[in-house]
Amino acid sequence: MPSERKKIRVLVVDDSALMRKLISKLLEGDPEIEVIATAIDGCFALTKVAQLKPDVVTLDVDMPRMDGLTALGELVSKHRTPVIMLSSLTTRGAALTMQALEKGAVDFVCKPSGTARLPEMADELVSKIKAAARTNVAALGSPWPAGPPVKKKGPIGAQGRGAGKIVAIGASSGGPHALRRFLPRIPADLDAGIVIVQHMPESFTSMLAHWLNEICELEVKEAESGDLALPGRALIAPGNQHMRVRTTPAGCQVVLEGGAQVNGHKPSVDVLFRSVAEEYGALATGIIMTGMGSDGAQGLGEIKKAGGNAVAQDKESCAVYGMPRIAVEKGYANKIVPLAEMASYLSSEVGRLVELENSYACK
Amino acid sequence: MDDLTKAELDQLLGVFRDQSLQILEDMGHDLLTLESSRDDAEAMTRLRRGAHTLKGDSACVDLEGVTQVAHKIEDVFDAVLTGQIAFDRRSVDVILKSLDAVKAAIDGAEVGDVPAETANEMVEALTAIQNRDEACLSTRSSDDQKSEPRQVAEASIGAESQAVSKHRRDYVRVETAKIDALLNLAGEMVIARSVIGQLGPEIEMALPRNEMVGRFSGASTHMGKLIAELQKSVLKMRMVTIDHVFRRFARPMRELAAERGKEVELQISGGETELDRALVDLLYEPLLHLLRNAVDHGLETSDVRRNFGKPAAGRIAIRAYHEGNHVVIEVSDDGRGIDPAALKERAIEAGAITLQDAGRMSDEDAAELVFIEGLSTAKRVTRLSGRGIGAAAVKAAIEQLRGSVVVKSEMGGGTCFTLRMPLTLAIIRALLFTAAGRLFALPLLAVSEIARTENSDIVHLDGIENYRLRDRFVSLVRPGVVLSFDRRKGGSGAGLRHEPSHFFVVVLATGDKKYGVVADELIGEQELVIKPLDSHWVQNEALAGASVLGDGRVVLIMDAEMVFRKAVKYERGKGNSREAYAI
Repeated sequence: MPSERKKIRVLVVDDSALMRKLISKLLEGDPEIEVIATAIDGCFALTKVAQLKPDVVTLDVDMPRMDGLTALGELVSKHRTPVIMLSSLTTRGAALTMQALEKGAVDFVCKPSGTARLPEMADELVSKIKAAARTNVAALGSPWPAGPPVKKKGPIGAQGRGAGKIVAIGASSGGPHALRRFLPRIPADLDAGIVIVQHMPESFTSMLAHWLNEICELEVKEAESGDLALPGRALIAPGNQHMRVRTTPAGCQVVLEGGAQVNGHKPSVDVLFRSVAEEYGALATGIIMTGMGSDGAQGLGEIKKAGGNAVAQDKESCAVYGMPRIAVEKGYANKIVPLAEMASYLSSEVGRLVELENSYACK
Repeated sequence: MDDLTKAELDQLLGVFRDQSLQILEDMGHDLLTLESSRDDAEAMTRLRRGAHTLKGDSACVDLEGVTQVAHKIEDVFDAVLTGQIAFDRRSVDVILKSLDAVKAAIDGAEVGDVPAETANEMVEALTAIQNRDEACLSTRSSDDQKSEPRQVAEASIGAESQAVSKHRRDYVRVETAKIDALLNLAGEMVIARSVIGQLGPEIEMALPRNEMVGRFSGASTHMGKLIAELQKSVLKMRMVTIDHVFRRFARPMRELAAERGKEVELQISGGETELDRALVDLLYEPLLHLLRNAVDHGLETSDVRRNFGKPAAGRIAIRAYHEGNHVVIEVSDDGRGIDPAALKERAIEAGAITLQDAGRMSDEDAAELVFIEGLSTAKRVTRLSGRGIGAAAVKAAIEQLRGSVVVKSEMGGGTCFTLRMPLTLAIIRALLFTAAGRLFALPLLAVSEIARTENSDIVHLDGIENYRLRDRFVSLVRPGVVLSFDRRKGGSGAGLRHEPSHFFVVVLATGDKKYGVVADELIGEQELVIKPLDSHWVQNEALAGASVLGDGRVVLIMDAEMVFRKAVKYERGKGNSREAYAI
């Protein structure tokens, strides 16, 4: 990094004057960010991007003349500009957001639902813009595993295999893209169930699950209370509910519950990790991935303390090196792994656990 | 980021209000479009987007009620667009009502929220639309069909106005104030340029046969042309399409038609005609008044119309087009027309005309009596259009805008009001002259002719100065007197003290009246950028504004109509009769 820091130049695209004003206002508080222009629809956005070459674009979806998704295609393929989507908190908004991520948007931020939420949104937007400015857009556009998964196997744990192990994953900002690269590389015959907390609002999590399910060999679904996290299956905690696990004779069962936010989040990674540590001890694997804040670091520490495997995504592959950083700095992680190697590491690690389990069984 | 300050929040709310009012207006327009052509997918998409933006924005500024209502409207259009429900008139009614609730909430002195109770009510009604299942819908829509002949409240929008809204061009939104500042600067440049222009001959005198003088005046002329172009371009920026006004009529007309139980077909054409932005808003009320009058007093009920062999639906047409430096707007109906005899009768009763006047008056002139305050042939007073004051108020408002209005009517065939408005309010072509030692200007458009005359040509009729113009007399107005420069000096109106023996009569025609303004000396004609007079002058309604000439002199621009009114008032104050003036 050069010592002289240039400001991140942002173009704000939204058909609502209020949103343009508000977003500009939220960003103007940060010394490293500069809103250089605004545009009221996709057509104007493309013209301005060509002229001004902004570092990051924030993009609304619903706009006249040329909508966000159409503009996004060109922004990504032609200009290679990192784009952050401004999404609405609706089912349609969630579906469009997933499409946008697929098309190469770096990340998304939900439109604020009240002035009380503005400071929070400002923080989120600022850190996502900073992360986006460092992102290689070309790499995002191309889905990693070419073509659809070979075969959908579905959960195979009912056959009695691997009921004793669990992999818990926690992610926040940058998570959807990271998961999109990571999960498809996990083979369906991995000998452990997978539970995931990705910080996301309601209705977004089911879209995320649907989206990942399309490209994964694993079955990916939004968790419902009582679902079993069997090998071959990944369960994603629904937005606005915490997810815990408990061991049952049939395998690992997830329990969903309401309650207060933990670390400002619901679902919280800490809640999941703690219950995983309690229930599975040495047979648990916790992976803390890209994201802002510190949610999950503590929980990862507890997995480690319980003898489990505590993994943190490495700094270079993180869109936002926040949660893993805290975990690493506090010594809660016993392994740091780049995203690209995460799947193979997980396979070998779970394999090692299987041997461990077998050796226990022999004794 | 810290929490928003009060000022920041207010600013956001201001942006929210402006934008949302625009959205609401557009949505209302699109809804009515949909009513006449039900499967306009583009309009549907616009409506959904409008509701979507409203929802997101209102959530941002903590207006929960608005958010709820907007969200529900968005849901309804989602359902329509995905083919889950069909769109019918009932939906239009409910959605219009919801939009009204939102408008009422945010358009107050302070931006407010839709009260929870209203919001719930609206959400419920909207949910009912959204949840209608297809079976139930189809029976309902067949009911609709059956009741169609009895359904008499329909105001549809002409196809042309739809065409206008489809031809959207690229726009940049600029505050009007910024354009006005630019226009003002351009005006100042015109003045500065004319100073340079006037220097030309002086320099030539001072430096005879210097070749630089030629180059100087060449450059000066060129600059003059460029500045004129600049001014014209800026003026163009102030122009907006009259569609902005027209599209606002569909809604109230629909309501009025429903209330009166009349079938009304509103035809709008020429919506793409451009005119000064400042005029657009000011034209709304007068035009609405005329339209309401047309529904209330012009159109007959369907039964009556059938008896006359007319189509059951009354046609009200509003049309705009350019004519020279004017925008012409016609509001016409095919109703019963104005009854000249009845109008004359009432005018006599009211003392506005004499029996002899009435006898001389052609039917055409008689129709113009509608513009006299307090006269109306309508038998019924209605809530919306009132009675009698309508046309008079319209005329006053239009003339205030330096426009004119005339009416043509045919008994049984309909009525047509024709408004002629200046293209812009900012610049006028004016005749400059001096009177009472001061520099004045009159809009050239109002000047019908100029006569050179002398004192002996002046006749006094009923104590008022008149000038004989061929076969008729025109009353004379002395600007110095009317504007009260002279009055205190003791000249009691005759004002003949030390007038030059030769002077000029500028004959003005405003509306249907002719009168003369006495000018000592004519200066010439020139385009003037009108600047508003500061508060010291505002009381003087006879002045439309002022301008500064190239040599720095200030010229007062008279309002042709108001000067006359003021003169009448002045003479009346002296006890002279008004009739003497009204020729």
